[in-house]
Amino acid sequence: MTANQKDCYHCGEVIPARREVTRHIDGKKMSLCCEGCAAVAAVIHESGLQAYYKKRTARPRPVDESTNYLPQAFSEIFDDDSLCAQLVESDGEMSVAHFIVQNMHCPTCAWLIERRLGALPGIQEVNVNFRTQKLSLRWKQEQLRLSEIVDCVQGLGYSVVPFGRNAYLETIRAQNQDLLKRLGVAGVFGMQVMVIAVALYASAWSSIEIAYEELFRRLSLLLALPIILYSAAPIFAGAVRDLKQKSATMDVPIALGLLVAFVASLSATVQSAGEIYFDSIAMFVFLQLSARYLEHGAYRRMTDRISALTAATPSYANRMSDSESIDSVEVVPALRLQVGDFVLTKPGEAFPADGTIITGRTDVDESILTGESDVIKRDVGDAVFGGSVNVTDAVVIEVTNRSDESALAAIVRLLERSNANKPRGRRLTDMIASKFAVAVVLIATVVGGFWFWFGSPAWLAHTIAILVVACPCALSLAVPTALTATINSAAKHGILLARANAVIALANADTFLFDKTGTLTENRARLASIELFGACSEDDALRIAAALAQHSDHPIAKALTSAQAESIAMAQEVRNIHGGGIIGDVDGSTYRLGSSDFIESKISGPSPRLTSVHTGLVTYLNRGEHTIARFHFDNLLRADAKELIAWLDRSRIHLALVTGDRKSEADRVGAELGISEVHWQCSPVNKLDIISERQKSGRCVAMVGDGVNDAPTLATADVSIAPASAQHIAKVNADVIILEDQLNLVAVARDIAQFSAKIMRSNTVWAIAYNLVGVSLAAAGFVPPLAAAVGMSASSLLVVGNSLRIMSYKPKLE
Amino acid sequence: MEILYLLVPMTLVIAAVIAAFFLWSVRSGQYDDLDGEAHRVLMDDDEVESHDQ
Repeated sequence: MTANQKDCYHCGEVIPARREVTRHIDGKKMSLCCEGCAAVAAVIHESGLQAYYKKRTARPRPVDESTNYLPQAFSEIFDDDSLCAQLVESDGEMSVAHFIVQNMHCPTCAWLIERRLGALPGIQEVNVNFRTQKLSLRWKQEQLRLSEIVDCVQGLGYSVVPFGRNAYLETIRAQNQDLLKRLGVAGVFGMQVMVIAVALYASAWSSIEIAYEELFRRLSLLLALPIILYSAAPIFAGAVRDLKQKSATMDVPIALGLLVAFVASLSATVQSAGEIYFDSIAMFVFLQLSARYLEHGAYRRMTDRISALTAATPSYANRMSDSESIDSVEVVPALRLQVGDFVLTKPGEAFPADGTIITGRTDVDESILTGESDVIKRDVGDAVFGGSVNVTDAVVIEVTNRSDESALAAIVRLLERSNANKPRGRRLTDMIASKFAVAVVLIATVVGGFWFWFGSPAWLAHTIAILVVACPCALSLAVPTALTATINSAAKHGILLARANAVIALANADTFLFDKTGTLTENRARLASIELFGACSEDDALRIAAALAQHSDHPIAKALTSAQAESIAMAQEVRNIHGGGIIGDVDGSTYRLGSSDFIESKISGPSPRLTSVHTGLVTYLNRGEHTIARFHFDNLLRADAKELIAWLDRSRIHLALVTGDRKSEADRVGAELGISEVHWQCSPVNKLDIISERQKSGRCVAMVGDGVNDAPTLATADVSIAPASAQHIAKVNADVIILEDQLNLVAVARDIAQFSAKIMRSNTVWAIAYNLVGVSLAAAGFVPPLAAAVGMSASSLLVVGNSLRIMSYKPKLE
Repeated sequence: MEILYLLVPMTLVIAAVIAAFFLWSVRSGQYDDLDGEAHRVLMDDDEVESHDQ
């Protein structure tokens, strides 16, 4: 047999021996790894969209594998009128519907779906947002049924889940638009105010006629009106709210400064005497709103990801009206399931709701709940959880909990609680602001009183100048601009900062806890060693085991076949025995491959060899009654795990490994990476306890994890980090998501965060210093409006410029 | 300088028109997905290429 490895034309994976599928596409013979990939490749070429293969920047997963986890062929359900009415908004002629598209890998996927759907009749508008994974459609329903659209997207190898309107997300979007409108108005009118301000300042050197000066002053007032009444409205609303709650934040001193400046300028304009500050007002409102708009954008990105998560639970179920009759199956939306309904779940499907098995037995992959990759056997009477995946056999379950109340939903709720309780560092600037407001008012009163007492005619002008100069413009920008720059800079390195306020915690973290499976190790099993018991060479044992393993999709079997990619023997009469292993004939003898239970049940009397200590993942190969080999497996360490741990160790960070796995595995990984503190067999609750203990002793804890079981832990830690391969739910809870498959980006994230924290500190110190000096000068009566405007702008721009240094920062990793 | 009495109201009108145009563009959702458009520009080149083939 030749070692002729081929890669799948569609997904690029190595095609397993003897599984090659060949198709003639565009006159060329293509090799593909599965029927799914073949079908998708054919559709893409037929639609003339083969440019996809040239331009994509990430490869998809094999189609058969990736669509397994969702119910197949459920598109006809969309012909159901009542369901359609829930999902589609129609204005008579045009219909609008939204979906979440899963399995998108790069922006080219979005392009592919848009092109393909755009070519269908009746489609008027199609928009795929790669970032939020949302597909929005406007089309004529009489020309094209919803089911045909779903079929079309599935035909390209993606899974689509209908996504009804979500009131919460709509609110976020509306807020974003509202903020942008106010910002735009402040920008347009602010520019006009500035132009006029220049003319007025120039008049100080070359006098202009009084009539024109009057005109310009009134014009400034007119142009400033939309800014103060419309654009600045949220600032005033925030200040009023804070005052009512007696919790002064940044809004209070800002609103105070704006109000004083505007009222003074208004009265000066009307009385044709005194100073006007309209230019300062315009500039200030514009800078404020810009910072808020950028902050809100980061918040919106986070909620978009949560919406993608809610779509990750299966939406359809095979309901049986009679638990005995397979003919009574009908496909219904999972949300319509009631307690007591019978549901048929086929291998590869996720359970649509919590339930109890009433017919059949199977292996269940509960990794979405527990985070560990081992499958668990479930028999009649056992409970299964919504969202976990049925791996081997079809079973019928009786629903015990509606799908929206299923375990997964329960975890989501748990997370919401953890988030609410999370000890978030109150924003430093808010704390300063609350004291600031009081101090400024006191100073202004004292100084105003002082000038009045000494009979200065300019006492009011001086008091106003103090209040205007004290407006903490630069201070209010100090942190938000640095955070926004940090988010952008991190994104360039492949790090998503989901929660901006985690930056400071990440910079301060002195303890890093790591989950093992999927975080420090890869999720796949790897053949570690072979133990031989009979007169059989290692090569032969592996060759025979791989021959049997070819007939199974179990992760262990895949590890065996990939260890022996070439010259796999042929196995005949192969049977997959439930819950144990594979029996088959290779080279004329019958072999069994499987767990010790499986092997022992087939031989008479216990074999002394098999009672030895059970460590790690093992599989046995038997010929007749003799065990000839024992295979040991482990999870591969990520390539850069060692580098990361060493780097963190050098930075004098306390490290610990926290895993749900066995002691032996945990110790092995700990020893290999040099982590001395290892906690094994931890439940999510144990993990939470470990974190709270550290937090109580005053440590700032960073948690790195990827599973659903890590999710509550991630939410409780001061800062949490999840790799891109993490479960959705873990990612939703993570403050930091490593977008590329590189673990040492954790170190990069920390380095950027530390630099960012340094910038924030210097920004804050500078802004406070500016305000102190400004207020002192104003108190002495040295600050005319021009100086106030220039000072404010200059101090704000300095803060912005300092923050921009983060954008060009190069992380130092030695 | 009397021209100011014409230019100044014009300033106001133009500012109002720009603001109204901006509000319209926000309301029609043109700023909702800024990343997507950035990618779309690149992708449209591909379409031409694929037609040429």
